[in-house]
Amino acid sequence: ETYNATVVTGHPAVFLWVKMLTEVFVPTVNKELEKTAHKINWTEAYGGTVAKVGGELEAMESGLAQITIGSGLFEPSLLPLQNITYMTPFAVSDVDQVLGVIDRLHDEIPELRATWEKYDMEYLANFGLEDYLLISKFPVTKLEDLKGHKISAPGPAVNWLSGTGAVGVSGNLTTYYTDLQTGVTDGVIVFPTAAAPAKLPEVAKYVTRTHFGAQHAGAIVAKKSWMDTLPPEVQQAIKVGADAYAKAYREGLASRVDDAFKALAASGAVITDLDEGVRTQWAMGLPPIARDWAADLDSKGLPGTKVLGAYMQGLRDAGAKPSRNWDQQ
Amino acid sequence: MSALAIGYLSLALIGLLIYSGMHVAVALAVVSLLGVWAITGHFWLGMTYVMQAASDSIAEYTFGVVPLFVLMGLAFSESGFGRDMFAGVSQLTRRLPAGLGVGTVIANALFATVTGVSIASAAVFSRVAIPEMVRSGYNQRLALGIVVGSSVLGMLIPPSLLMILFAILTDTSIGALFAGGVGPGLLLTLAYCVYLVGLGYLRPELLNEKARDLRIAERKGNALLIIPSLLLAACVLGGIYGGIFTPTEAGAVGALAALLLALAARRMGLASIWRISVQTGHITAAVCFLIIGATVYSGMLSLSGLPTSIVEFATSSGVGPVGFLFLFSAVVIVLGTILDSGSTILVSAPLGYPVALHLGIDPIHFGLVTIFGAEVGLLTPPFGLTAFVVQATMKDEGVKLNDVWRGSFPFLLVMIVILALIILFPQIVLFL
Amino acid sequence: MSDERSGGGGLAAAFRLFVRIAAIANVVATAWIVGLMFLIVLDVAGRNLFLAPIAGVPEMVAYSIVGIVFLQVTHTHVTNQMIRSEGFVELFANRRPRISNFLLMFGEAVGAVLFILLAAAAWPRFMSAYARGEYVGAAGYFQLTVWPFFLLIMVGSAFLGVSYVFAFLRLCGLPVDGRKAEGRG
Ligand code: NA
Ligand code: NA
Repeated sequence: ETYNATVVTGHPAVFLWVKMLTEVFVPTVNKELEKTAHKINWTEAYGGTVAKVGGELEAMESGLAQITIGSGLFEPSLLPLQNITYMTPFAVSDVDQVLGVIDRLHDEIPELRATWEKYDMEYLANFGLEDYLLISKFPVTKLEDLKGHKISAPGPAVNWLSGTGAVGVSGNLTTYYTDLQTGVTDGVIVFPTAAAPAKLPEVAKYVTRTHFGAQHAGAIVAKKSWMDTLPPEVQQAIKVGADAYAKAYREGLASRVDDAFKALAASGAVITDLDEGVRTQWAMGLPPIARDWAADLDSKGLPGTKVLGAYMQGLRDAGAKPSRNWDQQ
Repeated sequence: MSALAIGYLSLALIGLLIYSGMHVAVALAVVSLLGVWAITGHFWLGMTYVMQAASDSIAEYTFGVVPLFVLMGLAFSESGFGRDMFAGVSQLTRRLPAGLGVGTVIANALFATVTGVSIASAAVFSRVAIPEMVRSGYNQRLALGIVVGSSVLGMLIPPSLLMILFAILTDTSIGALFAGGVGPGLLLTLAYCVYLVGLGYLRPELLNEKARDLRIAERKGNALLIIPSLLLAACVLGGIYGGIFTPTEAGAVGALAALLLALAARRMGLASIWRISVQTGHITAAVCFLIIGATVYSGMLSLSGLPTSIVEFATSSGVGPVGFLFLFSAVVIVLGTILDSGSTILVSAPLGYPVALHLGIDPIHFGLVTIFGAEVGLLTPPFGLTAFVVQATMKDEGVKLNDVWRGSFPFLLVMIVILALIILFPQIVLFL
Repeated sequence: MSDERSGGGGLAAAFRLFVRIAAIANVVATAWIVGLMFLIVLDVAGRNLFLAPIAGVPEMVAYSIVGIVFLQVTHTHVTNQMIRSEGFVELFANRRPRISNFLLMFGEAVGAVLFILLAAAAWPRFMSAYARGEYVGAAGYFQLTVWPFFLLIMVGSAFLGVSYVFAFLRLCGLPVDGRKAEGRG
């Protein structure tokens, strides 16, 4: 039997989380299916040709797509719990620790899977982004250096600048280069594998490893009502494919981050590590972003405080040393 | 019927419907609806898709400023500053046989250094330059062609939204693409100027000399009139390069500055400001509906697998790098007849890019060929966005779409010649 | 353009009312454009002069265009400013006026069906956006509720659909403008 599946993403296949769909997920599922009498006829539509970034879940709900990458960052109102890591900056630099804890929480806290299921999605595997950093036109060694500067930041990361004296200007990858070039902003908050190909050091050469933290960026999800109609061996093949995707993503990410730092250095960047004391000062000076976020979700009947506590505890158990214990302060 | 066959059929159907006089946006949307229905077998799915794309495709910051650039252009021309500026430009270029035309091309190239969107260039210059050229005796179609042709510079000379889009789709450097656009941009500017000067010698009746000389004489002694225009240009350019606002924000600042200047100089009253704002809204709605239509259709095309199939055809033909670039740019130009330039790049670049790398083509060279090819689509019928913008802006002057197509045809040919040169001589892109 | 003359019966009266509503929506959209201009200028000024940018301007600008377009589009259609390729139709208009009229009628009929269906398709999306309280932006920084925009898409499409119906009826020879039509829109 042949089944049709359309995979859509808003981001193009140059981003690792999309590339791994076409290079690992789809081939692995196909290989698994060879052992059965079934086949999937794939349509892959990446890069916003069918659904824009943030429009993927609608494409799934309408039935246009069966598999996608869902991201809390671009669905802040539908997937608020999935934004936990963006609410807890300076907590952990290691993306493996983030992804490990998040994956485990999906098993321990039923509400996490339930937020997906509410929109007829089945959570299959997650992916993340490496430790965010600051790229600026001026060197940053102490908090006072930030004062009065305009800094572009994506979505909720604007909050990471509150109380520093810097001004957060919301932006995204499409605006960073020209914002810096024309001087509209003096710095950007970004992750290395995006900063390197965009050649940001051409327009701002100070790369400060602030260790804002690695992030849980989204998950590969399937349309649940569609999955339920598939024979068990096809469902199993899709799950095997998703596991292979998650594994390949993490392995691919590590080497990509290394390459990104080499490329940044090669394009003239001055790369420094922010002093740990300054980092703690920065983290402690921020408003209680996570507590406010959790309280807001609690009031909407979502387990905000519970997820926050479990996540931070999970990180500490995994050996991370958060600059600020967001669940306690 | 296979999805692929549906894709090819849809291309033919859209051409047919547009030429039958159906509103272009309606033709694109309805064919997309039928296409998604035929591919998926569910009618309502097609409808939901069209509805979702209707909001997603224009809910973008870059499109949000479209009305402001239109307003800036209308304010600039209605207040008469545009006319003053052209009087000044024609003084400078009066020794050339096609002075005003060359002036328009150069002014557009300068404006391109601040805007990243060609429809902004088209919106600003159609109202400012075309009436002036016609007043001084230019053939109307030629005047239309000059503006449509030179507005493509808006996305070819950096900054360019298309280059940013290509960079993100393919992981290439925005800075390197910007640098790569300088050569082709200057070359195209030069080619247009040479074409116009040649036309001035060979077909002087198209650019009536006498009337122009009269006009210059009439304006003499009023050189000070150019000052407000210079102020406005200085405000916009200085603001962008001084790091005060972004090229997209310049639409708002420029529009407000033009309106305030017009009020201060008593060139416009509040009533006429309101009138041009209403007109701005009409142009915005008409143009954004086209963008919605083209985006919806590009999604349907992707679902049909047509872009994949034609790129596979281009690659399996076994040609070398230069042959591939010619074939690929032909594919891009064909897609560009029906899609807007952003959608053209969206559906073609990710398919052609890996092949180009495999053939050893420089990524920036490939990028500029793709971008240039997509920009050719701005002036090819049946769907040419800058042609539409110029026509929408000049509609009350009795300008028909057909006049715009015919007028811009020579400029289309010039573009294709330059595209061939860019393919054959990568140095044009890579010299910087 | 609307004909200010009265008379022509119920259809003409309905059309006059319709044009008036479209004109009001047009005024709102036009004011919105002017407001958008001031919003961006204030953001630029706030960011540079007081180091205090206005939160959420990119989101407001992005969604404003949806609002402006769907408020404005009916009036754009009523005033015959939607973009079409008139070349071939005009060619026919001189030699075979019936064919030309038929093609135009077909175009308006398709538009009527399309936009009324679009309004119907927007309804469930509007409902879900409303029920879920969907927003764009970022928690703790700026949030823009999106259901009003889906409402505008729905209502705007429905009105546009009706406008196509009127245009179709006019091409059928009905006295939409309160007088006999001359056969072409
Ligand atoms: Na430009
Ligand atoms: Na075209």
